Amino acid sequence: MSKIKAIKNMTFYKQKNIIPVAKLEHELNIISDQIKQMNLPKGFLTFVLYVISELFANINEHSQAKKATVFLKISKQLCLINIADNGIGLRKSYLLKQIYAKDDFSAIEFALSGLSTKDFEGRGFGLHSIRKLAQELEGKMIMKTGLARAMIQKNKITFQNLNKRITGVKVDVEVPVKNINFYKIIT
Amino acid sequence: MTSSIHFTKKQLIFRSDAQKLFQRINRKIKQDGARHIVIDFSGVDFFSRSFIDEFLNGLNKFKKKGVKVQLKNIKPFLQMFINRVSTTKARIQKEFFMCRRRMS
Repeated sequence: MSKIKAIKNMTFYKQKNIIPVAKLEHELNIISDQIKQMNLPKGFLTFVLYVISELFANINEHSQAKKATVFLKISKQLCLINIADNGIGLRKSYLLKQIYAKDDFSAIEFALSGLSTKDFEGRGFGLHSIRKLAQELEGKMIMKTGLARAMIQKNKITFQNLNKRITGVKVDVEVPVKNINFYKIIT
Repeated sequence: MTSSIHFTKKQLIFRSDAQKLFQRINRKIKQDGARHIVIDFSGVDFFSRSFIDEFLNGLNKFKKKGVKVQLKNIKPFLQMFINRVSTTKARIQKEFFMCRRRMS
Protein backbone atom coordinates (compact mmCIF):
# COMPACT_ATOMS: atom_id res chain seq x y z
CA MET A 1 0.00 0.00 0.00
CA SER A 2 1.21 3.55 -0.73
CA LYS A 3 1.91 5.83 2.15
CA ILE A 4 1.46 9.48 1.30
CA LYS A 5 1.96 12.33 3.69
CA ALA A 6 0.97 15.87 2.85
CA ILE A 7 2.77 18.22 5.18
CA LYS A 8 2.24 21.93 5.70
CA ASN A 9 3.76 24.56 3.47
CA MET A 10 3.27 22.73 0.21
CA THR A 11 5.76 20.02 1.09
CA PHE A 12 4.71 16.66 -0.16
CA TYR A 13 6.47 13.42 0.53
CA LYS A 14 5.81 10.06 -0.86
CA GLN A 15 7.60 7.08 0.48
CA LYS A 16 9.51 4.92 -1.88
CA ASN A 17 7.16 2.14 -2.78
CA ILE A 18 7.48 -1.14 -4.59
CA ILE A 19 4.40 -1.64 -6.71
CA PRO A 20 3.29 -4.52 -8.93
CA VAL A 21 3.21 -3.31 -12.54
CA ALA A 22 -0.50 -4.17 -12.66
CA LYS A 23 -1.11 -1.47 -10.04
CA LEU A 24 0.71 1.41 -11.76
CA GLU A 25 -2.47 3.10 -12.90
CA HIS A 26 -3.94 2.94 -9.40
CA GLU A 27 -0.72 4.44 -8.03
CA LEU A 28 -0.92 7.32 -10.49
CA ASN A 29 -4.51 8.00 -9.43
CA ILE A 30 -3.41 8.24 -5.80
CA ILE A 31 -0.47 10.51 -6.63
CA SER A 32 -2.63 12.72 -8.84
CA ASP A 33 -5.34 13.15 -6.19
CA GLN A 34 -2.74 14.19 -3.63
CA ILE A 35 -0.62 16.59 -5.64
CA LYS A 36 -3.64 18.35 -7.17
CA GLN A 37 -4.23 19.75 -3.70
CA MET A 38 -0.85 21.46 -3.73
CA ASN A 39 -0.50 25.04 -4.86
CA LEU A 40 1.98 24.37 -7.66
CA PRO A 41 3.26 26.90 -10.22
CA LYS A 42 1.56 27.10 -13.61
CA GLY A 43 2.15 24.04 -15.77
CA PHE A 44 4.10 22.21 -13.10
CA LEU A 45 1.33 19.82 -12.07
CA THR A 46 0.94 18.76 -15.69
CA PHE A 47 4.71 18.31 -15.93
CA VAL A 48 4.80 15.95 -12.92
CA LEU A 49 1.82 13.91 -14.11
CA TYR A 50 3.29 13.74 -17.61
CA VAL A 51 6.67 12.43 -16.41
CA ILE A 52 5.15 9.80 -14.17
CA SER A 53 2.54 8.69 -16.72
CA GLU A 54 5.11 8.36 -19.53
CA LEU A 55 7.51 6.37 -17.37
CA PHE A 56 4.67 4.15 -16.19
CA ALA A 57 3.54 3.64 -19.80
CA ASN A 58 7.08 2.60 -20.77
CA ILE A 59 7.25 0.13 -17.88
CA ASN A 60 3.87 -1.30 -18.79
CA GLU A 61 4.56 -1.61 -22.51
CA HIS A 62 8.26 -2.45 -22.84
CA SER A 63 9.90 -3.55 -19.63
CA GLN A 64 8.32 -6.99 -19.03
CA ALA A 65 8.84 -6.05 -15.38
CA LYS A 66 6.89 -7.49 -12.50
CA LYS A 67 7.57 -4.61 -10.12
CA ALA A 68 8.31 -0.89 -10.17
CA THR A 69 9.61 1.42 -7.49
CA VAL A 70 8.29 4.98 -7.27
CA PHE A 71 9.58 7.88 -5.24
CA LEU A 72 8.17 11.39 -5.47
CA LYS A 73 9.04 14.42 -3.44
CA ILE A 74 7.85 17.95 -4.12
CA SER A 75 8.90 20.81 -1.88
CA LYS A 76 8.72 24.58 -2.43
CA GLN A 77 12.04 24.55 -4.27
CA LEU A 78 12.66 21.10 -5.63
CA CYS A 79 10.90 18.19 -7.26
CA LEU A 80 12.40 14.69 -7.28
CA ILE A 81 10.90 11.88 -9.30
CA ASN A 82 12.60 8.46 -9.17
CA ILE A 83 11.04 5.57 -11.02
CA ALA A 84 12.63 2.19 -11.62
CA ASP A 85 11.59 -1.22 -12.88
CA ASN A 86 13.05 -4.73 -12.64
CA GLY A 87 12.49 -5.63 -16.26
CA ILE A 88 14.61 -6.49 -19.28
CA GLY A 89 16.30 -3.10 -19.66
CA LEU A 90 16.49 -0.70 -22.59
CA ARG A 91 18.94 -2.58 -24.78
CA LYS A 92 17.01 -5.82 -24.70
CA SER A 93 13.68 -4.10 -25.36
CA TYR A 94 15.22 -2.64 -28.54
CA LEU A 95 16.80 -5.98 -29.49
CA LEU A 96 13.43 -7.72 -29.19
CA LYS A 97 12.17 -5.28 -31.83
CA GLN A 98 15.22 -5.97 -33.99
CA ILE A 99 16.77 -2.60 -33.31
CA TYR A 100 20.42 -3.20 -32.56
CA ALA A 101 21.98 -0.99 -29.90
CA LYS A 102 25.60 -2.08 -29.56
CA ASP A 103 25.66 -1.40 -25.84
CA ASP A 104 23.61 0.08 -22.99
CA PHE A 105 24.93 3.58 -23.74
CA SER A 106 23.67 3.40 -27.30
CA ALA A 107 20.31 2.17 -26.05
CA ILE A 108 20.02 5.22 -23.79
CA GLU A 109 20.96 7.50 -26.69
CA PHE A 110 18.30 5.89 -28.86
CA ALA A 111 15.68 6.35 -26.15
CA LEU A 112 16.55 9.99 -25.50
CA SER A 113 16.56 10.83 -29.18
CA GLY A 114 13.04 9.48 -29.61
CA LEU A 115 13.80 6.22 -31.41
CA SER A 116 10.83 4.00 -30.88
CA THR A 117 10.57 0.26 -30.44
CA LYS A 118 7.19 0.50 -32.09
CA ASP A 119 6.28 0.56 -35.74
CA PHE A 120 6.41 3.94 -37.38
CA GLU A 121 3.44 6.11 -36.59
CA GLY A 122 5.14 8.97 -34.81
CA ARG A 123 5.84 7.17 -31.55
CA GLY A 124 8.74 7.09 -29.13
CA PHE A 125 8.55 10.65 -27.82
CA GLY A 126 8.04 9.93 -24.11
CA LEU A 127 11.63 10.00 -22.84
CA HIS A 128 12.61 12.59 -25.41
CA SER A 129 9.87 14.92 -24.15
CA ILE A 130 10.80 14.32 -20.50
CA ARG A 131 14.35 15.30 -21.37
CA LYS A 132 13.20 18.52 -23.07
CA LEU A 133 10.96 19.43 -20.13
CA ALA A 134 13.71 18.79 -17.57
CA GLN A 135 16.09 20.95 -19.58
CA GLU A 136 13.51 23.73 -19.87
CA LEU A 137 13.15 23.72 -16.10
CA GLU A 138 16.97 23.82 -15.82
CA GLY A 139 16.99 20.54 -13.98
CA LYS A 140 18.54 17.18 -14.66
CA MET A 141 17.57 13.74 -15.76
CA ILE A 142 19.54 10.59 -15.00
CA MET A 143 18.97 7.27 -16.71
CA LYS A 144 20.53 3.97 -15.71
CA THR A 145 20.24 0.66 -17.44
CA GLY A 146 22.59 -2.33 -17.55
CA LEU A 147 26.09 -0.99 -17.10
CA ALA A 148 25.36 2.54 -18.32
CA ARG A 149 24.48 5.77 -16.59
CA ALA A 150 23.62 8.96 -18.45
CA MET A 151 23.08 12.36 -16.91
CA ILE A 152 21.39 15.03 -18.98
CA GLN A 153 21.90 18.56 -17.73
CA LYS A 154 22.21 21.93 -19.47
CA ASN A 155 21.92 20.42 -22.93
CA LYS A 156 24.80 18.00 -22.27
CA ILE A 157 24.74 14.25 -21.83
CA THR A 158 27.43 12.77 -19.61
CA PHE A 159 27.96 9.02 -19.74
CA GLN A 160 29.45 6.88 -17.01
CA ASN A 161 30.14 3.19 -16.57
CA LEU A 162 28.37 1.57 -13.69
CA ASN A 163 30.39 -0.83 -11.52
CA LYS A 164 27.40 -3.03 -10.91
CA ARG A 165 24.83 -4.04 -13.56
CA ILE A 166 21.36 -2.63 -13.03
CA THR A 167 18.32 -4.75 -13.82
CA GLY A 168 15.69 -2.88 -15.78
CA VAL A 169 15.70 0.89 -16.14
CA LYS A 170 15.97 3.62 -13.55
CA VAL A 171 15.01 7.21 -14.30
CA ASP A 172 15.60 10.13 -11.95
CA VAL A 173 14.27 13.59 -12.69
CA GLU A 174 15.32 16.46 -10.47
CA VAL A 175 13.99 19.92 -11.28
CA PRO A 176 13.34 23.21 -9.51
CA VAL A 177 9.67 23.89 -8.86
CA LYS A 178 8.65 26.77 -11.11
CA ASN A 179 6.33 27.83 -13.93
CA ILE A 180 6.62 25.98 -17.19
CA ASN A 181 4.84 26.47 -20.50
CA PHE A 182 4.23 22.75 -20.82
CA TYR A 183 2.37 22.78 -24.15
CA LYS A 184 5.08 24.85 -25.81
CA ILE A 185 7.78 22.33 -24.93
CA ILE A 186 5.99 19.04 -25.45
CA THR A 187 6.38 17.35 -28.82
CA MET B 1 -26.90 6.23 -36.56
CA THR B 2 -25.16 7.96 -33.61
CA SER B 3 -23.82 6.12 -30.62
CA SER B 4 -22.23 7.40 -27.39
CA ILE B 5 -19.34 6.17 -25.32
CA HIS B 6 -18.60 7.54 -21.87
CA PHE B 7 -15.27 7.08 -20.05
CA THR B 8 -15.30 6.16 -16.41
CA LYS B 9 -11.52 6.29 -15.90
CA LYS B 10 -10.04 9.59 -14.65
CA GLN B 11 -6.66 9.03 -16.24
CA LEU B 12 -5.90 7.42 -19.58
CA ILE B 13 -2.27 6.37 -19.47
CA PHE B 14 -1.61 3.26 -21.50
CA ARG B 15 -1.92 2.46 -25.18
CA SER B 16 -4.13 -0.42 -24.13
CA ASP B 17 -6.68 2.14 -22.85
CA ALA B 18 -7.00 3.45 -26.41
CA GLN B 19 -7.17 -0.07 -27.80
CA LYS B 20 -9.99 -0.97 -25.41
CA LEU B 21 -11.83 2.15 -26.54
CA PHE B 22 -11.48 1.09 -30.17
CA GLN B 23 -12.90 -2.33 -29.32
CA ARG B 24 -15.94 -0.59 -27.85
CA ILE B 25 -16.28 1.56 -30.97
CA ASN B 26 -16.00 -1.49 -33.22
CA ARG B 27 -18.72 -3.23 -31.22
CA LYS B 28 -20.99 -0.19 -31.66
CA ILE B 29 -20.33 -0.27 -35.39
CA LYS B 30 -20.98 -4.01 -35.74
CA GLN B 31 -23.88 -4.42 -33.34
CA ASP B 32 -25.69 -1.10 -33.72
CA GLY B 33 -24.59 -0.16 -37.21
CA ALA B 34 -23.33 3.17 -35.84
CA ARG B 35 -21.52 5.50 -38.27
CA HIS B 36 -21.25 8.43 -35.86
CA ILE B 37 -19.66 7.86 -32.47
CA VAL B 38 -19.60 10.49 -29.71
CA ILE B 39 -16.96 9.96 -27.03
CA ASP B 40 -17.66 11.79 -23.78
CA PHE B 41 -14.47 12.71 -21.89
CA SER B 42 -16.18 14.58 -19.05
CA GLY B 43 -14.84 12.15 -16.43
CA VAL B 44 -11.26 12.26 -17.72
CA ASP B 45 -8.66 14.42 -15.94
CA PHE B 46 -5.48 13.47 -17.72
CA PHE B 47 -4.05 11.67 -20.76
CA SER B 48 -0.53 10.46 -21.23
CA ARG B 49 1.19 11.15 -24.55
CA SER B 50 1.26 7.40 -25.19
CA PHE B 51 -2.54 7.25 -24.95
CA ILE B 52 -3.02 10.28 -27.20
CA ASP B 53 -0.64 8.87 -29.79
CA GLU B 54 -2.46 5.54 -29.94
CA PHE B 55 -5.84 7.30 -29.85
CA LEU B 56 -5.02 9.56 -32.78
CA ASN B 57 -3.74 6.59 -34.81
CA GLY B 58 -7.05 4.83 -34.20
CA LEU B 59 -9.14 7.91 -35.04
CA ASN B 60 -7.40 8.07 -38.39
CA LYS B 61 -8.32 4.48 -39.16
CA PHE B 62 -11.97 5.06 -38.31
CA LYS B 63 -11.97 8.19 -40.46
CA LYS B 64 -10.69 6.15 -43.42
CA LYS B 65 -13.52 3.66 -42.84
CA GLY B 66 -16.03 6.51 -43.04
CA VAL B 67 -16.94 6.45 -39.34
CA LYS B 68 -17.25 9.90 -37.76
CA VAL B 69 -15.82 10.08 -34.24
CA GLN B 70 -16.70 13.19 -32.24
CA LEU B 71 -14.99 14.13 -28.99
CA LYS B 72 -17.15 15.80 -26.34
CA ASN B 73 -16.47 17.56 -23.00
CA ILE B 74 -12.67 17.46 -23.23
CA LYS B 75 -11.05 19.78 -20.71
CA PRO B 76 -9.34 22.70 -22.54
CA PHE B 77 -5.81 21.78 -21.42
CA LEU B 78 -6.34 18.21 -22.64
CA GLN B 79 -7.54 19.51 -25.99
CA MET B 80 -4.32 21.56 -26.18
CA PHE B 81 -2.34 18.40 -25.48
CA ILE B 82 -4.16 16.50 -28.24
CA ASN B 83 -3.63 19.38 -30.68
CA ARG B 84 0.08 19.50 -29.89
CA VAL B 85 0.61 15.78 -30.41
CA SER B 86 -1.51 15.86 -33.54
CA THR B 87 0.65 18.66 -34.99
CA THR B 88 3.83 16.71 -34.28
CA LYS B 89 2.44 13.57 -35.90
CA ALA B 90 1.41 15.52 -38.99
CA ARG B 91 4.89 17.03 -39.25
CA ILE B 92 6.55 13.61 -38.96
CA GLN B 93 4.27 12.12 -41.62
CA LYS B 94 5.03 15.01 -43.97
CA GLU B 95 8.80 14.69 -43.50
CA PHE B 96 8.62 10.94 -43.94
CA PHE B 97 6.70 11.09 -47.19
CA MET B 98 8.84 13.92 -48.58
CA CYS B 99 11.92 11.86 -47.84
CA ARG B 100 10.42 8.79 -49.49
CA ARG B 101 9.45 10.77 -52.55
CA ARG B 102 13.00 12.12 -52.92
CA MET B 103 14.41 8.62 -52.69
CA SER B 104 12.08 7.10 -55.32
